[in-house]
Amino acid sequence: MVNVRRRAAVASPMDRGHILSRRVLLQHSAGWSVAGLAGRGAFGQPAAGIGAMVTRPIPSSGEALPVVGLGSWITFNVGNDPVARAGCAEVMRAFFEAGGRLIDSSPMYGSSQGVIGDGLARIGRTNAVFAADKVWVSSGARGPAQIEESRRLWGVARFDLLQVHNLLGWEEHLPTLRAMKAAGRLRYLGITTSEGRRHREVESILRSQPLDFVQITYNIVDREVEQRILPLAHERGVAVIVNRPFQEGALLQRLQQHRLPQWAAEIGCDGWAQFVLKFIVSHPAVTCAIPATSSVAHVRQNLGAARGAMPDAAMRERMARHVAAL
Amino acid sequence: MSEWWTYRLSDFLMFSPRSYHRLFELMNAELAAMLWIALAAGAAVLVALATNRAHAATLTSVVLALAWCWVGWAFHWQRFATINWAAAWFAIGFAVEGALWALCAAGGASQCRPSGPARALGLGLWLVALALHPVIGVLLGRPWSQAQTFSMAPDPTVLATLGALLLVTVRGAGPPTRLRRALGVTLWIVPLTWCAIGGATLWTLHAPEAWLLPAAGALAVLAAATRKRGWPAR
Repeated sequence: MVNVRRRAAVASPMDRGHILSRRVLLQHSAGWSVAGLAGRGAFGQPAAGIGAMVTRPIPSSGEALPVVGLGSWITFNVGNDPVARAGCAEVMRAFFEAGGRLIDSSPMYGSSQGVIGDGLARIGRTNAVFAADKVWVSSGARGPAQIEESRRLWGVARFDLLQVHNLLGWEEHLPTLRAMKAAGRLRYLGITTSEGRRHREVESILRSQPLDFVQITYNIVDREVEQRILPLAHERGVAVIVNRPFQEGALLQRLQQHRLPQWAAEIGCDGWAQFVLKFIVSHPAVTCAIPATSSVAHVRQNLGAARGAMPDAAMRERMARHVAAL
Repeated sequence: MSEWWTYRLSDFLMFSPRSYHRLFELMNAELAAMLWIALAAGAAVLVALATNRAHAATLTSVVLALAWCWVGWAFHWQRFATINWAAAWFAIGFAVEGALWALCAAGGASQCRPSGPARALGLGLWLVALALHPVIGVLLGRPWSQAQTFSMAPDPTVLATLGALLLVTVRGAGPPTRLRRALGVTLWIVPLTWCAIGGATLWTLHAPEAWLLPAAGALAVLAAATRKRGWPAR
């Protein structure tokens, strides 16, 4: 915790001079900072959840990242459909206008990388994105060619973050990523897993390898990572990206059959999506959650979860108890 | 794949229902003329098989050879592969099935004229593929523009093929050889495999018609196993 506090202080010089509310002070105590990012929507109307964007520092550098990013699994895999591609570009436009930065993809996600590259060029944000991608091939020798093809599809000069997808061939890929980082062709490296798989191996890699990021599945009902992986990542100074925050929509579908509790307004939630996201990103070890969506309204709602009050530990337990009882 | 037992079928689904159905909409719009030509060819085969025309089996084999190769190329390779990396393998499977039907046409396809249920099911499946399958999506609330039709989309092409497999066989001029028997059995492999893959895909997409392909495959196998063939006089 001490490390995170120090890094938060490094990461948020722009916050000096802010009149900090009690809640923001609480946020700082958990490693958060707030950034005065855009608070206007696509056509000049206020973006969802007006207020300062909550960010978290990447432990290895102190660089601040908004706590909500954008995933691309399924939602951006639209092939060559021109209408759907334009729709994805609008989702990205709304994402940036609401203060988002990190977009995550993988060569495994079909056409998603090309759709992201196309959309970024269309909205003129290729240089603004925090580009997070993966290497997904069992052969270490084929990793560099796949990474280069991914970079070409994104249209970026270099990736900010490259992760070994689902630990596939990690022993061979991590040295490649380290060499890229040393040569200045990559800023951060990491590993990913999903749906609670291979957590023992993730723990072992976290202990033995120098990593900047680890990506895992975590949400208000899948909480196993709270026991070991999140504390370990925190202790090792590794940033945590959370995938599948809505269980690919299944969790939200289930929750939407129930009314949002009135007390959710205390932490500024305007719906279940924000309720679930605020629970995730308020964990002290979590750096960023990456919900995927193909809807402009939903991406604004998701980014709204990165603004306003955040739940403290007691509120988090209340939230989890409430969902478990539904 | 480690911890394989933790994977569900839905973990392999990498596209949304919208993206999948849009593939057919864009294909139908781009290849509208081809769509009508394919339907006309399918209708001609149905009439020929129903009326026991002399060259019905050859016509069926030629049309199916072209249909499988076309679906493999135009749908799987050019379109489906943009949202599903496994579709490149599907394209190869469809090309192999097309080649097998071409061999069937060259090697002496015959109408085997089963009696009773097998004949009814064979003709019925072909009719479903041509006329009913494109309507299913509309009945389920999808637009006409996304209709899946014979020779353009894999599912109706497979349904028609299952029907053909009950009505057509490779007989040639001489007595059945081991090669011809093997070809007759091999022709079933890709359509039945697609019944499983196509059914699983629709099931993970929560499509209500997901049961259709597996049910048609099972019925066709049952009918083939129990059919009594009446060979045409030479």
